[in-house]
Amino acid sequence: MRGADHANGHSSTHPEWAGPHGHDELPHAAEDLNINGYGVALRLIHGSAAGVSAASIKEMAGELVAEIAEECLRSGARAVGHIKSYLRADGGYIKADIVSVKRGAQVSGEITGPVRDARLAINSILVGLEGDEIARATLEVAGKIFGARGFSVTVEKGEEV
Amino acid sequence: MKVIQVAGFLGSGKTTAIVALAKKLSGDYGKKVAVIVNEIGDVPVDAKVAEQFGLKVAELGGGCLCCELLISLAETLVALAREFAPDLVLIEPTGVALPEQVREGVRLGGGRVPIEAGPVVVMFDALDREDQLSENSIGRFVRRQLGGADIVAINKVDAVEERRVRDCEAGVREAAPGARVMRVSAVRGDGIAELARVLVGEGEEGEEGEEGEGGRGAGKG
Repeated sequence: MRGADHANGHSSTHPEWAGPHGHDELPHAAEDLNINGYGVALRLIHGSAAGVSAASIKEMAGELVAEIAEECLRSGARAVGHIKSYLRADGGYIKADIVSVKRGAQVSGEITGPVRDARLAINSILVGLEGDEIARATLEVAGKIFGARGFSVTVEKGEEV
Repeated sequence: MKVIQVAGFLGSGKTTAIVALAKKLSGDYGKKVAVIVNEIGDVPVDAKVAEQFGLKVAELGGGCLCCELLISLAETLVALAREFAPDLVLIEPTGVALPEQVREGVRLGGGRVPIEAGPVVVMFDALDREDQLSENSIGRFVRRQLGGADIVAINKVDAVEERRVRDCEAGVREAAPGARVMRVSAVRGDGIAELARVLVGEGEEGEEGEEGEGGRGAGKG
């Protein structure tokens, strides 16, 4: 994978909160949830002119979010918050998301024809895992799944959130 | 311009509900609808999904709408009013935002352009009742979200048994005693017509199984 950029980003803690509300309440009741995330935009280009079938891409999209979830849980996440992806190619789009490993990935959308060039946005939000670990898991899994099927995977925009 | 917040915890089905509602509100009621999406982080997924269905989408990324982006929300509402003039704006905050804090951004925007603060809908995931109504930190947070609701839409009811839906309703009513409680399956469209009807202010009287009349925040702000 090329061009990974783990910039600083958002977490759910706000130690210097002054707030517009005129009282001392914390801005997020979520502050003690330790919810962090990582968002990344990837470019996928297949090594062959034929590309990969739409059915395979759909399968990979579901596999992607499920494996990110499992990798984050193995790395110490307390729970999956919401891991979602959106893949756009000339022939359409595929959306995949997961909120629980037990429930599995939900995949929707359609692509007509094989895919050789696609853009993929992933947003991984986990409970109880630091953002850099989420970034590592997200990028590793995306690289593994799409790399194994002959895609080069390039980070176009990535931010630890 | 009426502003409706569709809040809820991570994965509760906010984006799916907003897409379904927007289609219904524009198709059946002729409303000009815009959507404001706030996601954790700068790489939007929900906004892309909403755009896929032809919706006018304004993205607010890089922070949480309920605090860092409060002013941006107000400015976005003003810009939408002046440049797009929608009848309805559906706001999708992040799953870790609290409804009452997002209301503040709506109120700020209302100081500059005419805004009617519509009801706050909080989506509740029927598949995740145990965690979302637990005594742990997630449960405490979700109850606070529910406490800010005018309408709680118990989502994914197609995927659970009737007994479980009733358990959800009981838990939700305890957490949000003043809210109207409705059942939906956003992915199948079940209950969306009724929810849309409530949001545009039709059929407010005598609805079976409903509580309240538009809720604590409707029409205020």
